[in-house]
Amino acid sequence: MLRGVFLKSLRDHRRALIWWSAGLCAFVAMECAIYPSVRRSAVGLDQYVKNLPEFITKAFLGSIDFSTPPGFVNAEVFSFMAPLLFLVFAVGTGARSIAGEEEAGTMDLLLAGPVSRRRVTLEKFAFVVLGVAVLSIVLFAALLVGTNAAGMHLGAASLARGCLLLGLLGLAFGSLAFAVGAATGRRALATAVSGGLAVALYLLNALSQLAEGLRPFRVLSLFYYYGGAAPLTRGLRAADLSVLSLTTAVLLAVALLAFTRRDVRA
Amino acid sequence: MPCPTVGDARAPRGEGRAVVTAVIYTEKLTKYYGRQRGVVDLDLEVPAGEVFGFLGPNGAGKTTTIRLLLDLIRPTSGSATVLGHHSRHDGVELRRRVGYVPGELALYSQLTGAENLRFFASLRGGVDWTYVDELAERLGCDLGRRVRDLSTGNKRKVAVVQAFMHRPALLILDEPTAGLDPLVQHEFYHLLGEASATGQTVFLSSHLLPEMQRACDRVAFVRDGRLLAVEDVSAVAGRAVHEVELTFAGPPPTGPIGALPGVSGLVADGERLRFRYAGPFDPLVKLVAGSTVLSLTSREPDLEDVFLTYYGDELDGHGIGEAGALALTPDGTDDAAAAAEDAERGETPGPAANAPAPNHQRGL
Repeated sequence: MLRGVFLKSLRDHRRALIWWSAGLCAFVAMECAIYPSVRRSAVGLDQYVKNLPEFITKAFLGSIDFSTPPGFVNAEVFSFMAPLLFLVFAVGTGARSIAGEEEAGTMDLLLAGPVSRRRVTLEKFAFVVLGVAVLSIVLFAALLVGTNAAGMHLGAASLARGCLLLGLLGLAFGSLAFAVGAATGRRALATAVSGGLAVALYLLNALSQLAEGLRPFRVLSLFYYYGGAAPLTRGLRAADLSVLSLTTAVLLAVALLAFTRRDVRA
Repeated sequence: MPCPTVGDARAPRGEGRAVVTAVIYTEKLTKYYGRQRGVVDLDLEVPAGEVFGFLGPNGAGKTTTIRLLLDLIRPTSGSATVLGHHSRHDGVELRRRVGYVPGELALYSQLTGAENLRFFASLRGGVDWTYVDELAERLGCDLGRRVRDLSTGNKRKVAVVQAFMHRPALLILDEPTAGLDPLVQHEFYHLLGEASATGQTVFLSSHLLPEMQRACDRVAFVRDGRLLAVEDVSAVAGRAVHEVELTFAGPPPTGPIGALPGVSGLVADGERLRFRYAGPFDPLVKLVAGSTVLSLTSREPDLEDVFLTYYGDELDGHGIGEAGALALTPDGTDDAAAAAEDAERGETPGPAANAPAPNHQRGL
């Protein structure tokens, strides 16, 4: 497991990956466990939602409908909690990749070996992709098992779409943290920039449901392409996938350009 | 000394500065961090098989130079060639043949020493593990413990093993003995000698003159980012100034000692004599052998003293860069000093007069 940068990253983070996976499974199990009782009171819940101030329902719950299984999973998993967890993981991993190694001081010895910066960048990025992919697959599997057990029968295709969009969203923000870290060598800065931008873009997309003036700008938010509060029911669109993937590709290119050109911090 | 790693194209020394002959060759290598000076116009030439010392006080630009050689940082201007590979364009091949101990040492603290070595070895396509074990045993390095539980010295041992384990053509060692206890240092100098004997080249940076005298063939003096001179170590040893204190059982031979060449600042304090002494110790020892000496202490000069005795004049004047460049010719040691003196008196026309005045502080 200590052969090369990619496998070493995997070894360094294998426990973290296992814990994250376990956490996701526990989260899904809990949601699926409460579904029957939510369904029984679905009418009441929908009434409750309708009584909420309009800006909350419009902005954050969208077309929420607790009474249907996709509506429930959208609201409970995909609208907020899962993106939050994925972004925390992806931004943390992305920021740690290059900037973390540099701040720990080990980048000097690593790059004093016969490896190019390009290779180090690509191998470290490959681990970010792998990590997000693992979490996406784990979430998909857990949802598939959990929703079926709870009698929701959402269908594998619909869940796979949601998890794919979620993975691509997480990866885009992970790439942002990766690129800022590669360009500056500063992990805190990479985390702060990515986290701050994520919050801003989330709010932009959410509030654009509410304020007509903001609507034209929602295309600037990655959350728009993710499907906002309802990725499960959004359907798979080539434009969404392209924007999310292209964002990641551009940020990887930025990371490569920036890190191969600058001084390694002492 | 034959060196299989550089190849047959090697021209005899003394035929000017030719990139093929040198293991390390820098040309006007300059690094500024923003406006802060790193190194300026560094012309270095290290031939194969030599243990080459890179001596200067902290902040002189030693680590900057080393990180430039390894392409960890990029020069503002000038260039560096190591083992025939341009540092900017051919860094991977360059580093394949270099072993490195960083000055600011950081290993993977959550891994053991052995795991660190396995990782770094994997980047090199594997190494001879029996040699790793041999190195670790010779240095008394416990590879089984997590690096975060190791002392500074023990971490450095792991780093030294890491630098030697692939038998590189060039060892670049940035203050490698910091934190090592004397016995391990002794073994470390042995390793350097063996490396040199098998044709490996060693570039050793330090701020300790005794270390240089112990380990090196030649020494480059750097200060304030500039190369002052390159000298044979034997020449340095003969001229270093020591603080000597002698205690006698009876009246001290103050007169004869005061008359000895190289003695200055003589202070008599009862049966004790204190003075500064430059030159080989033999005449002094022979002189005091006639009296009963209770104790003799000789403090190694610190680097500021060395620089002052060597370059006290030049440090105030012009032409340091010129002196350094001239001294790079293998037999140019005395020429350099003479040239510097000429420059100081303003008698040398031409480049020396145009050299920028060094922006330095005496620090004393």
